[in-house]
Amino acid sequence: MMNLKNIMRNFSLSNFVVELILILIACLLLFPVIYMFTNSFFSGAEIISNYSGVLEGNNTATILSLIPKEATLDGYINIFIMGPSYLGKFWSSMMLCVSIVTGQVVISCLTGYGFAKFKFPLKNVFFYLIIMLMLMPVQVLMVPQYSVLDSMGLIGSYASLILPGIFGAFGLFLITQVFSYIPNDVIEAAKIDGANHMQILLRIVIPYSKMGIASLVILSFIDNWNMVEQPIVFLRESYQYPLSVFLSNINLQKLDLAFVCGVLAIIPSLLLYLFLKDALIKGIEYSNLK
Amino acid sequence: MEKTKGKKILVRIAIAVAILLVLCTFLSNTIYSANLPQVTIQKVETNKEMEISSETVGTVVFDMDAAQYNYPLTIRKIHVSSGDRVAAGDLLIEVDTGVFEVEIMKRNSAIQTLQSQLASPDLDEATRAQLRTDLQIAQRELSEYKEAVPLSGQITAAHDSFVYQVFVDEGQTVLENTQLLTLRKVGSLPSIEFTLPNDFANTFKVGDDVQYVYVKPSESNRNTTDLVKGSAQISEKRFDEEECYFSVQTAQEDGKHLYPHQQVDVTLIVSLQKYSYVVPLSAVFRVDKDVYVNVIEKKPGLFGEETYVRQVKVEEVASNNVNMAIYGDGIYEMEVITASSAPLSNGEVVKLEQ
Repeated sequence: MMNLKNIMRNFSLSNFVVELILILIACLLLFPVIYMFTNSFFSGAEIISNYSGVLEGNNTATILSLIPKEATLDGYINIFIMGPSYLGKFWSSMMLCVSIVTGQVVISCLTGYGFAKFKFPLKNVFFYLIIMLMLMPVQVLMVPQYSVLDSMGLIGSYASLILPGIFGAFGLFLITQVFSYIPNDVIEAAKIDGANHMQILLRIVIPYSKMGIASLVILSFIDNWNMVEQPIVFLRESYQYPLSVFLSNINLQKLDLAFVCGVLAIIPSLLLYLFLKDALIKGIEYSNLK
Repeated sequence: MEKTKGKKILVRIAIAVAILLVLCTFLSNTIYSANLPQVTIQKVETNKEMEISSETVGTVVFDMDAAQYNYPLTIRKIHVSSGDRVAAGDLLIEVDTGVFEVEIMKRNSAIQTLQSQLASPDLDEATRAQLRTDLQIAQRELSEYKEAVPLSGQITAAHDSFVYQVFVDEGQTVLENTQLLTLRKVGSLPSIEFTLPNDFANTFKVGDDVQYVYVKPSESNRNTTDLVKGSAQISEKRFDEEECYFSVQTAQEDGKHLYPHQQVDVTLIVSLQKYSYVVPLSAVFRVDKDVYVNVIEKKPGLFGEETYVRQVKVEEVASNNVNMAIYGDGIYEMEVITASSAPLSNGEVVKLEQ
């Protein structure tokens, strides 16, 4: 009763409209995820019959259904137990992402500290060049990357994906912005106490910037978890392709398993987001403050 | 505090999910490996000796004499029957000679007419020459006729023979070139004739061993039959447009049991030859007219090295009932699949039988 009174007292039409619009947008954005989750419990025959128009290219209407006629876990059993292809690619993707994210954090922290706290000739020029790189689509950079990696003999190995990922421009930009927020006085005080730059970085700068680094981790993980073009171009053997490429192909080959694969593919990103969502928001705030 | 508690729960969930995924990875890999088709492989043998044989059906042929004449005959009496043994000169068939006598008289009369015409003094040279030619022809034809017909009315055996078959009856009038009876010379050995396609016939030559199998009445029980195996060498080889004809002279003993036009199973055996690349016949399969073998290849896979099947088209050089000599690019390095627990397709992952 008290709550209802409070609600009535605080009711505002404009707020109501805004909230209604946001709810609608949220439903629109969430609907594909919910649809994918519910369809993962459909049987293979039901999915094929629902999407026969798409599969066979005829004029049969596609049936969009949220509730299965007969819920089944066959898709999950097929993916998890009957064949190792999905899980193998899952671990390949995980290995790639962990390697890239770890390397990117290390490199970005080192270079970000240099850009944020040092003065050297042409510092702004280099920084603007990095921003230009960050603004370029990844497809544009793939051709020069291929030439460099081919000359290094890395085409066909996982290093062709890991190395360009580690030295990504976005991580450097974000960490530079985060580190620049740290007061120089703290660093000066540490220098007076006799700390060298590595000690300052490890004991002062990085602990101060946990939120920003966490946001880099989650953004970088999601970005590399979903990469498709680079594996197709830089890797030669199909067994090396990560999960993202596998998912793009399974839509054409086995539609009945596509929904299950999609549900399982978002689990790592979802867990990481839930764990680091506060840091993500604060990290983005830091990058905008400067 | 709540946030910390929530994060702890998330960490535990993540760890549980990770452990579950690791276990499922091992389990699925184990099940997948267990369900892979199991294959047996063998390296392609090089410079291997192979005995080539081929099976076909041959026909028994005897060297037969046949009694037939170019003129109609009337059979008066038949003195022999099928299976009789006759000596040279023995009387076989008596025929009516009246027809011959009438015909000879006619021809003699024609000759006399020509002779009388020739004797005329009023003939010019051209007519006389023509008459001489006609007379010569008539005389020659009379001579040939006398040789061609049994003037004595008796048809006798030319050699010691067995009467194989009599085709006429007493009192029957037969047309010209009708077979009266057939005789098989005593001591003549039957031969077996068979054919092979020309492209395959090149594998075999005169002198190659041949085995044949035929049926004869059992010596212990006349109501049953025994399978008899004989062996000989190819005695004749003759090419035709589409086929090659072979002839094999059989043994003396076989002559007692074989009969003309009898069908016998023939197996041709070529002496051992060395072939460059030989695989077991179980490793080979045909699609339309092409010959293929399944070979294994190893490539890196998601969980280590995997073994794949690759279908390779080869050329057949020769084959017997056990092995096949083949030819193809890079054959000597390959390991062929000789047996599989399930049908295989190109590119399929398999596991090797331990």
